[in-house]
Amino acid sequence: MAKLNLSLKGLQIKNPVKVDEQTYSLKEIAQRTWDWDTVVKGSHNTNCSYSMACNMNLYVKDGVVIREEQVGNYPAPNAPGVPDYNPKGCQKGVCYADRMYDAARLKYPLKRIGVRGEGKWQRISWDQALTEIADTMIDVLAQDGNDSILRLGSSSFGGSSQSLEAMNFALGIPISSGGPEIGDEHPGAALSTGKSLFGGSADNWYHADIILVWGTGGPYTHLANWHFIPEARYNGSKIVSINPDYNSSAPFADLWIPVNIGTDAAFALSMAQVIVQEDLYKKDFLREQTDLPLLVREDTRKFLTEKDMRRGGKEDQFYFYDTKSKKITEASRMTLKLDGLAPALEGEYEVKTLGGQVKVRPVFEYIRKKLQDYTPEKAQAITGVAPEVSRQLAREIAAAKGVVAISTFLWGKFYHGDLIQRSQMLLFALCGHFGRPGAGYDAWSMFLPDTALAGYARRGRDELLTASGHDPKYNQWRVDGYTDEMIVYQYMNEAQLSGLLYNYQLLYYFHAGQQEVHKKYNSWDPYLKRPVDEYMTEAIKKGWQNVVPRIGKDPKVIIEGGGSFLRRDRRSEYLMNVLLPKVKLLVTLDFRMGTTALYSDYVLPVASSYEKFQVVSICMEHPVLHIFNKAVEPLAEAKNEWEISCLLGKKIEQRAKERGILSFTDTKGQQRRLDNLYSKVTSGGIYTEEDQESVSRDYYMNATNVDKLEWEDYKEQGYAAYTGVGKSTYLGFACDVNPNEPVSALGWHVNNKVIYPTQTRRMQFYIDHDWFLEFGEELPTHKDNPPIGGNYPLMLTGGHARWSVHSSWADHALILRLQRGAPLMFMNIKDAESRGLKDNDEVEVFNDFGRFQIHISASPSVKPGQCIIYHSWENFQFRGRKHFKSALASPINPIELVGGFYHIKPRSTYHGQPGGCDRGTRVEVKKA
Amino acid sequence: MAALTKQVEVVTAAQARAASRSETYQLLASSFRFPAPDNFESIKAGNIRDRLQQIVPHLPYSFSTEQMPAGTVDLKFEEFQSLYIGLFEVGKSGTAPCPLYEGCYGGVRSAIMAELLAFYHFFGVRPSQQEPRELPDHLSLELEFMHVLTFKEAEASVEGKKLEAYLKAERDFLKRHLAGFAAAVRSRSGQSKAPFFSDMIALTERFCSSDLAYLSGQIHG
Repeated sequence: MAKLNLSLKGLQIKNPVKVDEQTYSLKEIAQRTWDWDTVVKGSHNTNCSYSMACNMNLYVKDGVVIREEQVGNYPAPNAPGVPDYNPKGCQKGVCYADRMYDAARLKYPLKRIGVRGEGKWQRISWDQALTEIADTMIDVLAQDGNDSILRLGSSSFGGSSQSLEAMNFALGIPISSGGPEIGDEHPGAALSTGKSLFGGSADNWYHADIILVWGTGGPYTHLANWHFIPEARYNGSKIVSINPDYNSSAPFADLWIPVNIGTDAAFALSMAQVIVQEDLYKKDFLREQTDLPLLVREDTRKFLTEKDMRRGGKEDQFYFYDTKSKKITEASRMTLKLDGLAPALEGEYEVKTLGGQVKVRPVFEYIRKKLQDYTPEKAQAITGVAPEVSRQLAREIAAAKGVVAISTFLWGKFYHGDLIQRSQMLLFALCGHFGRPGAGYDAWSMFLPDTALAGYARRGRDELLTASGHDPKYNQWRVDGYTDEMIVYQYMNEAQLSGLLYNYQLLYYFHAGQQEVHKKYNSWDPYLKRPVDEYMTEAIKKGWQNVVPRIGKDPKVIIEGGGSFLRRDRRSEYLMNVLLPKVKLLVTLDFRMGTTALYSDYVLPVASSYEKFQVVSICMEHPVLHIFNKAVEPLAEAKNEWEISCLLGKKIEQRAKERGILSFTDTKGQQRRLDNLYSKVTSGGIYTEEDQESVSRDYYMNATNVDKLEWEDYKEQGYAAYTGVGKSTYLGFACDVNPNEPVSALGWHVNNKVIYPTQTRRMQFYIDHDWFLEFGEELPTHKDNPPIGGNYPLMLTGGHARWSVHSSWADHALILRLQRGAPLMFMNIKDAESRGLKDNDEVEVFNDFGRFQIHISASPSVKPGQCIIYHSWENFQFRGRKHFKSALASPINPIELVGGFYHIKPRSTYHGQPGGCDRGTRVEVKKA
Repeated sequence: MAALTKQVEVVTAAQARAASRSETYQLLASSFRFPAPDNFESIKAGNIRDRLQQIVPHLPYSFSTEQMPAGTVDLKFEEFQSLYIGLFEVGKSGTAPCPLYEGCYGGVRSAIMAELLAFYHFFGVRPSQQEPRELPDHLSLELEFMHVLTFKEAEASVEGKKLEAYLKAERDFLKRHLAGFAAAVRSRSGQSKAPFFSDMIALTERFCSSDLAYLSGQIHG
């Protein structure tokens, strides 16, 4: 051994070397761990939509993020004494660097070489991956059409403009309409207001007299903004937690009301009954803002309309009884201003119609009668809430200057969640708690830049901006008094019905075995008068809903990115056994090996949040638009989504030319070219695949509703404040947004008297659609949660977890160390004891639909009869990969199939379409 | 302080001992890099095993050659690569059974990487910025860093400089990082269906442990 060579592959010599190595000591090394090259502002999609994106400082050394911390540079509110948003962050965000570098990180394209899910992979080049994917896509486009390719997941991981949407639109590949996949929707709020989303900022809570934390896990969900709650409490606000279990919000509350599971409609209506009976309601608000004075025919139970009284009359011209003129009077369709009129809320009137004399009464009269079924004493049998508690809270809500309800997507996950939310909205309307600081109902408080190019927002916004010159309907709508908000919704509905967007529940109904589930378990809902399939057939035949792919065709290609449908969606076994065998090609874009990636044919590694530019399209409860800066290069061969989209578009174009398939016929019979795809994806060649920063910059600069900083200043600050609602779905807030001021939705309606986007152009509690009448749901009412899963004694609920929220952290070692480290089901300690179970036992949970095994936490904080599994565990964390969602049948409630009816029709996102319903699923438990 | 040279002439027995350790670390490091066709052929031909058997007698301590890595004669390159991916990169449960990153075995990953970078920079090296870039706590980098330190030790010996700083750094690095890391990887590799890799892991763990014991006997404080 005469010579020793220094052979470096993974390391390289660093020049210049300035250190005297003879001074080596561990102390020297320890001090040098606090060296870094740069500090960059960054953020991440960590905590669902709630609290998503917090401004972080990223410390970079040698191209590696070695630590992160909250920045704390959000400005103070304008009002003195009001808390600010600093320091915003949570335990997930401050270990994101750990997550992005952990062992599940994907580094290069993988091709499956075993059976799906076996975990046998071959590393392939990007070129090979894109070529093989492109070839299969071209085959399917040519043979089956564009609706056999589906884009699952969301654009949240890539930023709306920077993901695959441009390629999807160019090819007509349908994209998800969003939240109905898992019941992430506010159906009752939408039915009552016509809006897909609206809400307030977190600092709006601070101004409330009473804060109702109703059906949400409090700090588990709203972690980064939750501090406003104790701060409000110290300021004198009353905090009321209304949740069956003593959940994470309860320790912060002055009052915890353990309402029975799924009975919140009855509880809300019992308080409404007190408020009406004791004459505590705000009559002026109801007369002006709601449909409560509008007259309903006693014979047909339909609204009295102009069509009833005059041939050729409008179907949507409604009436009230004016107590001043003592006449039946037209309700204005253009404004909520009453202009001296005084609509009656009470009484019974005779009207001459084309069919003869009929009796009519204001909606309020019907409601008052309905509420007689919900006196606190009667409601107690349903809700378990003592009458004196309901009465006291009702009186306090009625007397308060402002009340806010912090709600999440829970209600969309209940089979009758629409009724629950309609009842809550009624309670708030009776007291006029909308449209001013310290008041409001949060029905998805999502702030959006109006360049949001995710499919659901793009269709409305883009078309609104260009429609006046092109679309004859536009002028017609304007003449008819349509607001921007209403027109956006029209275009979104058109996009949905055109097949550009698809609904997960309908996809699964026809393509993943859900139809058979419904046939087998139709008896679960005792209120149904017909089989679910009959309602479904009617809804599709009438064009209310649209199924993608068309019935009779199979989905052939699924491209998943920004989600993980095999983990996230209910009925896991059906997805694996019915849907997947139909799919020729499953491609997942992810930064880590999650459940869907594991079952994919190709896995494409995506840059993490610190490895790309991104303007965060969604932010909840905090009206600022954050930015991700590219702090470091993507690990190994990972690429950002924009680059992947461009390269795939380029490859499809190349292979199409090579194979002589220059176009295909889309589902509308139109020819779509493949030989110019790259140009379409890159906005006519404005950008290249290298231009992700430029795309992000333009996305920010083109928004009309965000404070305009110089791009470099924006990158340095890490966020920009919203200055308005812009021209997108966010119009649903219908209020001014001023930096450093609390946001309270619906101000334009309440204060400026702008009409609502509903059938009656008012906040609407009576729905005279035939199906609503058939179901007995024309008014808010309570219905028992059906025994989904069969006749078993325990009810399974869930929610955001303390430690993970979404699956990005579900299997992360650091976070798992803070808990028991494996899937866990919480159940009441007495329920456990009565089954011979003790804490941490592994149990089998089962119902008629499925079974799985899990450990239990026996806890006194859980309501007797309740089991709780917080999401979002990965399938492979369960024994035999049998996820707890195997036991969630998640049936469709046919009332959600209603469409073609004014404000009740599918429109992306989160509105007028069926959503997943699993809360309260019945199960039994035994020791495994 | 001069920049690293690429080669030193080894003359004395002490230099030969350091050199044998250095080359062993270099060979071990090469075994854990992502498989490429050329290193697969080398492994398949038994080159690593053969070279290790030549080096081991020069080590300053007794080291058994009985459990040298198995061959890979029955495998095609794609199968070999797939075994590497399934064992070290991604597994059936998201995470691979034996990830090759130290930070995946406890502690705070970012803090571990920060300290490794501090070690690397102090001794004049850094993770390569050329593809394929690896994170600082990849086993191949840590082994390669020990190759660097022992090379520097041999170089210092040739140049008549003090060795203490290198010996201490080697000991500290093994103690704080590599030895425990290798043992942790081995603890997870028991069920591996890839004999070459599990043998290499076992060999690495044994070697790091022996080297740490040797260094602990050489220096105090």
